[in-house]
Amino acid sequence: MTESFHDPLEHPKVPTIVPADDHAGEEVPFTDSPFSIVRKRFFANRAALVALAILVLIVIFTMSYPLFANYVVHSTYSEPGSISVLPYQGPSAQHWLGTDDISRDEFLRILKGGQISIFVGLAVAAVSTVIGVVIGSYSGFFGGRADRTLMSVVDFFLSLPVIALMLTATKFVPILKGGSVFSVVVILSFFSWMILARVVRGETLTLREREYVHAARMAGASTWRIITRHVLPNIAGVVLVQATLSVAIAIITESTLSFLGFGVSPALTPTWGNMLNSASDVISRSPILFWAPALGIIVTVMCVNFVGDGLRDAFDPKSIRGGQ
Amino acid sequence: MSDPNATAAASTASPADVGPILRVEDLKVSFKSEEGEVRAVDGVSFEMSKGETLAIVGESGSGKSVTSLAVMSLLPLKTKITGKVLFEGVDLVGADEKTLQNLRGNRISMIFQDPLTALNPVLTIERQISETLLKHKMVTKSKAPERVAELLDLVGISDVKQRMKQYAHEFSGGMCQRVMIAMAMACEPDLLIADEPTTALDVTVQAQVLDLLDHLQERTGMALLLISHDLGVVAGRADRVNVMYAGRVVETGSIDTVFEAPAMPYSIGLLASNTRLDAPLEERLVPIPGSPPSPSARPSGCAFHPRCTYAKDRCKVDDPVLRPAPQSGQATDPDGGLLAHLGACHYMEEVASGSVEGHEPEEQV
Amino acid sequence: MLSHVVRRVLTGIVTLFAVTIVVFFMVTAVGDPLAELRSKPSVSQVTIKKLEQEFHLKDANGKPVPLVTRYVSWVGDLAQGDLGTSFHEKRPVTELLARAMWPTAQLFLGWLIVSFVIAVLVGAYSAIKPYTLGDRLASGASFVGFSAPVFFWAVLFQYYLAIELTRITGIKLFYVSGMVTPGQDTIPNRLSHLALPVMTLAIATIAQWSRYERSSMLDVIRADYIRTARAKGLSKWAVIMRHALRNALLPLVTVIGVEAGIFLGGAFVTEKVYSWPGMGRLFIKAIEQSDFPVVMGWLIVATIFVIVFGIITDVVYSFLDPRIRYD
Repeated sequence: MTESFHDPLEHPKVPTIVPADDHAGEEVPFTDSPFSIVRKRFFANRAALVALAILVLIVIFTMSYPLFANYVVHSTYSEPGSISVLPYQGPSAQHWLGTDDISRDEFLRILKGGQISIFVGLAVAAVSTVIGVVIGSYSGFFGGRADRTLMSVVDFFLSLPVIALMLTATKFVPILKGGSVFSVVVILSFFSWMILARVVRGETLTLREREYVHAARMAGASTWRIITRHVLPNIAGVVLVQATLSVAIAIITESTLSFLGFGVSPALTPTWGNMLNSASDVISRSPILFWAPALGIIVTVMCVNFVGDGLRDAFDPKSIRGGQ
Repeated sequence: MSDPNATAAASTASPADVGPILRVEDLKVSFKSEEGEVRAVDGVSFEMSKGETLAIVGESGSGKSVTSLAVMSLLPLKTKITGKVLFEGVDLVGADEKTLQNLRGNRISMIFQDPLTALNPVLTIERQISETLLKHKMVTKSKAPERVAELLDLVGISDVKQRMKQYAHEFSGGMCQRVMIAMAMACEPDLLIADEPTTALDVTVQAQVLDLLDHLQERTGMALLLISHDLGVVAGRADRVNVMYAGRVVETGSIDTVFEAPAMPYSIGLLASNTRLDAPLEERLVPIPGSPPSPSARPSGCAFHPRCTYAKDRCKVDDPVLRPAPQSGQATDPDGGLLAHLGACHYMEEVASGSVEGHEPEEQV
Repeated sequence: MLSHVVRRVLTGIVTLFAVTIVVFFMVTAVGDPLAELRSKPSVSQVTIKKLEQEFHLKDANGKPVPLVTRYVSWVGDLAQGDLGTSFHEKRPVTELLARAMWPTAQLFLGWLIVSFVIAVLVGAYSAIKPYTLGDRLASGASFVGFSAPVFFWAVLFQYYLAIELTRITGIKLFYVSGMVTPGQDTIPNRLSHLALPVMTLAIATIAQWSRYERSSMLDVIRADYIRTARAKGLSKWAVIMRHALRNALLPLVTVIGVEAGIFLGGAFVTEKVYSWPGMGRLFIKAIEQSDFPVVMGWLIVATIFVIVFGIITDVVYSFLDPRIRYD
């Protein structure tokens, strides 16, 4: 094509930026100029910015739990100093979101539950990102037999009925029984690193063939140095985007397990997911018990997805959003 | 379908007898981009008569492909097109879809630069050709395979019965272009637009494809609009040539005149930069300095002045228009106009007579 | 083509083997699968003994069997189609699975058809009219679609579209549980039972697939062969239907091929909420009751299902794209 003009449909041209990696020379310290471009792009994206602001508010909000904590915490029935409460109360001045099936203050539980849900999301994203980056960069950098083996492991994990295995683990693996936050994070992380590993592997494979990596190798840089100095900084963007999206997936998966009754045990601590487990049966009696945690999950996950999308656009303006 | 008698007559008939089949008047095409409105074609006019071959040459970005797509109304919907594209007197600019659809592939058809991507990868060749036939009701459904075979045979594809069941990826580039030509010829169009038909092909195949086009033109008497950046492709095949630069026609004339006595410095440069194997080694390739301007940043005055070795101060401010070239006397045309040799340059006479000195161009864009 | 399928089947068998190892270890090797049963007073020692022998945990003399021997005997049973007996239902696992399979197959087919058709329509529309109000609405809706968990839609639809709708308007469009009203076994009755569970399952996939379809359709619309098709004089409709759509489906088919597992995840929630007597509910029940023979058998069958679905989409892909001729 001689003219860049053939598209039968108009589509906005995206401005191009200098690829970040072209600047990362061998001995030049990694300047923040590519990142300032990314930051500028991200801050120009209003939807992502609003989403980020909402997320920050949600986190502050759930962290403010201790401020309210001395106020009818898990009190069943009447406690000294508290008003005698009934289950399934509607919202009132004392109980902003009413009370749940055993008379606990729903507002407090939303705060506490949000804390746990968000923590699980972040923790799972962090752990699975570390696993994914290690496996992916190893596989992509060394290639050959290691790569083939690791990638067939990834394929294998991807072809598993994952939720079913998670449920199995919560019931049959001794250390993961009981529905503690720790065990849920371990189980979710174990089954969530594959996409990241695959993405990182792909990126590493292309980076490995770049001139400056060759140059570094010629200059006698160690593999460790090449990976940490040249490969990892350049895949940081992709990893960050993928990690953000995996926070969203982890929050949804945790809530699904909890909804089914196998996530974080409601006896130990509330999460938005396990609050919904009991609330869905009494939705006709007290819709707010369903809607409050449900909106908590949806708004949080949507904001995380928006931020992830914003990051993706900021790092790679050519990308077209196509789901996850 | 064209009259078979016109076949032989077409090349000799005086244009006055037939009247132009295509007349483009002051065509302007612009589209919106980040840098504002970009004018890709800026006031192009030309005429084509039946059986004639008109070449449009120019570097990439000169607006030649956009011009050809504008003729077919194949540009993006939001592109702004003004001026007239009269096909047998009917204006196609702003014509309704139905009219255009009835003309496209039927009276006017088109082949493209990269035949491999121009064919749908998931449909058989037969299906793609018969689609055109059925759309324009050239044959009944049951007769379609027969006609497809005929067409493929016509463009020189062997083993037709077997080949027509195949897909684009099973053909070579040259063969794909033959398939494209067969598709374009399906309804025996009056006008075939060939947009860089050989650019993506091997050198050895290029001549074959061009010969095929010549042959088909002789056979059907269609007009051929041949678009190329390669003067070698055009030489000896076109009747007339339009040289385009920065969205405008900067020189037009019969192919022989323009080749022998180019008037506008850009055409001179273009001819000089064309590989001439018969030329002495040191003269073979004289590239035009600089690169063509982006349509969004058209230089003031004559758009070519930043690259022109003859540019003077006037060229920076004064936009030249097409006017008779100094040596146009050779191409006397009884009817006047059609075969006239025109150029857009303030100093054509001086350049022709050698009274201006060439100098280093001012800036290299 | 055939050899490709054979190769896929062979890798599938390898995967299945690996799954048997994973399942075996998770369920019976890492811990004691009978732990929970032993603590239940309602389960007699005789039952425990029988189970221990059936699953080769202990031999006839009550001595523990080495791990490898246990695994080999279990896989041997599997290979013969013997998945053991559910101690809760007192029936062969194969029978329970067979009974649960058809209800879930209905959900699966409904989910696949509804998701595919709607996603393709929405995605194609968005791509043909990008950045219009319709596209933006679709984009926003899909964002909500894949940001909300499946159980949210399940409860929402069940309560508001069935219970509340009937309560307020008196119209009973949908049923909230089961597959069919006893004594009214008609196709419309079955469909109105099926509608909400299928919608529940489809929301997330419609959201995701329509985005894929949109972006691949946008790519296709810019392709040279689309211009060629227009240059032939075809109408817009014909260009889209005959030339764009099929090419734009290709990336989507690849995506769908790996989504059978996602369906199973959604089926747990959906079948639980709608009391659908399928595989999902069977599994949840089995997990709740530590009915490990059912759990193990279920996992094996589910893996086979995921693998087979992957192979089927592969074959479909090769029919859609003649450039892929595996050999």
